[in-house]
Amino acid sequence: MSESPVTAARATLELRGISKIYDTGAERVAALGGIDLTVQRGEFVSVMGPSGSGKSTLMNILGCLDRPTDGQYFLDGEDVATFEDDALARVRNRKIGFVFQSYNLLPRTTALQNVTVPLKYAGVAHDEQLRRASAALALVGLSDRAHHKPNEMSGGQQQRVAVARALVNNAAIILADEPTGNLDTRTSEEIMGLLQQLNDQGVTIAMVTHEEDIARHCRRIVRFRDGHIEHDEPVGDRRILAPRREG
Amino acid sequence: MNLVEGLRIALTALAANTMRSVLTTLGVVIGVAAVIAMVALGTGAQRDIQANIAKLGSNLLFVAPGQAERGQIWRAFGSAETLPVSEAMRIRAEVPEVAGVAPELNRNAQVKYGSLNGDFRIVGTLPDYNFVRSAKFEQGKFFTRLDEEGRRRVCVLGYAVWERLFPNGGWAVGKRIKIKSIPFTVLGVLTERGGYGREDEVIVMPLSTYRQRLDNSRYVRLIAVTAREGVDNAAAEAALRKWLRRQHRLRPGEPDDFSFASQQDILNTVQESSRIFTLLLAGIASISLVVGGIGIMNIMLVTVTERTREIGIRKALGARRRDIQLQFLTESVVLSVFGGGLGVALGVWLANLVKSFGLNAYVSTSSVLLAFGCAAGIGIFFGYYPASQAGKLDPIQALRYE
Ligand SMILES: Nc1ncnc2c1ncn2[C@@H]1O[C@H](COP(=O)(O)OP(=O)(O)O)[C@@H](O)[C@H]1O
Ligand SMILES: [Mg+2]
Repeated sequence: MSESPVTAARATLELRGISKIYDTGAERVAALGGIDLTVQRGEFVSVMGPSGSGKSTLMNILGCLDRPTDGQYFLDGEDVATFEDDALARVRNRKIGFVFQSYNLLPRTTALQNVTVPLKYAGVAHDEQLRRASAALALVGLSDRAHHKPNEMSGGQQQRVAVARALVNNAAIILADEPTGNLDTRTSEEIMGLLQQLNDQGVTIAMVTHEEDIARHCRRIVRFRDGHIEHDEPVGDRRILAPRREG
Repeated sequence: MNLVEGLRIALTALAANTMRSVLTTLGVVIGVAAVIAMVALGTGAQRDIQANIAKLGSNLLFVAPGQAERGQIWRAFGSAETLPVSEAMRIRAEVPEVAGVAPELNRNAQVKYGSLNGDFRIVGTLPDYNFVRSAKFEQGKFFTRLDEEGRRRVCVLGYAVWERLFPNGGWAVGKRIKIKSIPFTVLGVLTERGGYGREDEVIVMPLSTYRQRLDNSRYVRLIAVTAREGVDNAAAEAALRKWLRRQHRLRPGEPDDFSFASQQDILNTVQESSRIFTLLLAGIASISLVVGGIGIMNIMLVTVTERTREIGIRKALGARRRDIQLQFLTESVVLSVFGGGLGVALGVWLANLVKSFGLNAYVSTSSVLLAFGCAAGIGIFFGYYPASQAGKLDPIQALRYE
């Protein structure tokens, strides 16, 4: 393993001996048992594994939402495991875009307003916020839904708003925990097409999925079992979706 | 995130729950309105009193028997027998700084006119009373030196007495009323003094008549004097003190056995007590302001719990602890300031309502600013705890919250 100044130039995400132990008092659960994982810039990784194998825990640590119990995590060469809360918030704001299984849009708030949220915490001026949010919505094909609220949109549309929100602040990394978990096959493909399109533009993507079909859209699959990486291999027969443009 | 952005978020959130927001502010609205209306009432009363006392004349001095702290003279009235009537009668001739002298004896007595009666304070005094007390007349005039010298059974009615005995506003001059069953002819009716001290519930008669018919007391309860034109109050007081001390053969170092009070002293005492009254009212009213603040805190805690997931989302998207804190603090301040604004409007309206009922109420700018400032302060104070709870939430736990 090379030293960080060198890896920083090549790797976007690098985990070294990352472990996460949940101490519930009654028992100690090792959700991650010393993981080494490197994700290069521009990769498209799918994380798979049975329920409870530690996939979400990994994503939370990658996303700087949670801290490891032990180990080092270099994000663009910086050991973010040592960062203060505010510095982590800044990393989440500037470098990472999240896509959740349950969309996690703000209720009673229009699609456009939802997409502006990361920009508010980035200190972007109001007009500029609206301009960039509109552009992001256009990219996911939802310009005509800008003023709809989440409860006025389908699951697929909501998830596309979430993708727009994830990339509006020019995030280099998109982390998605089961982004298609609540969607039917057709809509799932819509989202995967969108993610492929973003990946083609250079965005690094790591996502969790249960479905082999979905994982085949990625470039690499990492398989988890009991908090350890069991397999790590490139996707042989990758499915490429033509980018869909629709409203 | 800047303040404008925070305000935008707060307003959006509050507008999403308009009814609840309005109900939440109600406590502050009522609190602020109560403070403003109460202080307006207190200030109005204070101004009434000032105006009434000013009406009495500014070069008026009172001397009362016995020792009393300056300004506390009312408590000493009539408490000692150190000012003989005969001495009071000589003041005008022997103290040139003094222009008018009106010694007063008084007691309560039963008064009858026809089938109407009442218990009133009867004052025996000299004709100087007329100008010393700047008396004004509703009807008739004051008694004269001839009445005093002749011990005539004549009297002048205070406004409240006249209202009581002549309920239909009838002409009283020349009528005969009975004081302790002794018939007296009414010479005049005084105009309304209003306000403090029940000045209107009085019947004034010549001192000589009073002593012969009602109470042969040798000592006065009070002497009202006015300084001569061109002599200021302090000089008149000093001259009179010197003269009285000589009459009483007080040695240097011995304390006075009488006390002075000027119009200003009385004004000060009355103002002090009405100021305390105002503060008391404001204090009671501000309790409701605090209750309003607790209402805001309660709703903010509910809001934070309800929006735990939103907080998680915002944190995932880059909100720092202080961004979340500021967001919720802004919400509670917006609530309380909005409530404060409505409260000011309601308070001013209430004060005007009170005015239309004939009470004096005065809304001062300082009370408006104070109440409004308190409302904003309450928003910060009671919003701080819920906001810091919100800021502290762990992003993952918050995201997982159902
Ligand atoms: N907050 C927590 N407290 C205690 N145990 C937890 C917590 N979060 C996850 N776990 C445990 O850690 C393990 C991994 O969980 P998770 O990463 O959510 O798995 P996956 O996403 O692969 O289903 C599980 O055994 C789970 O019960
Ligand atoms: Mg999971």
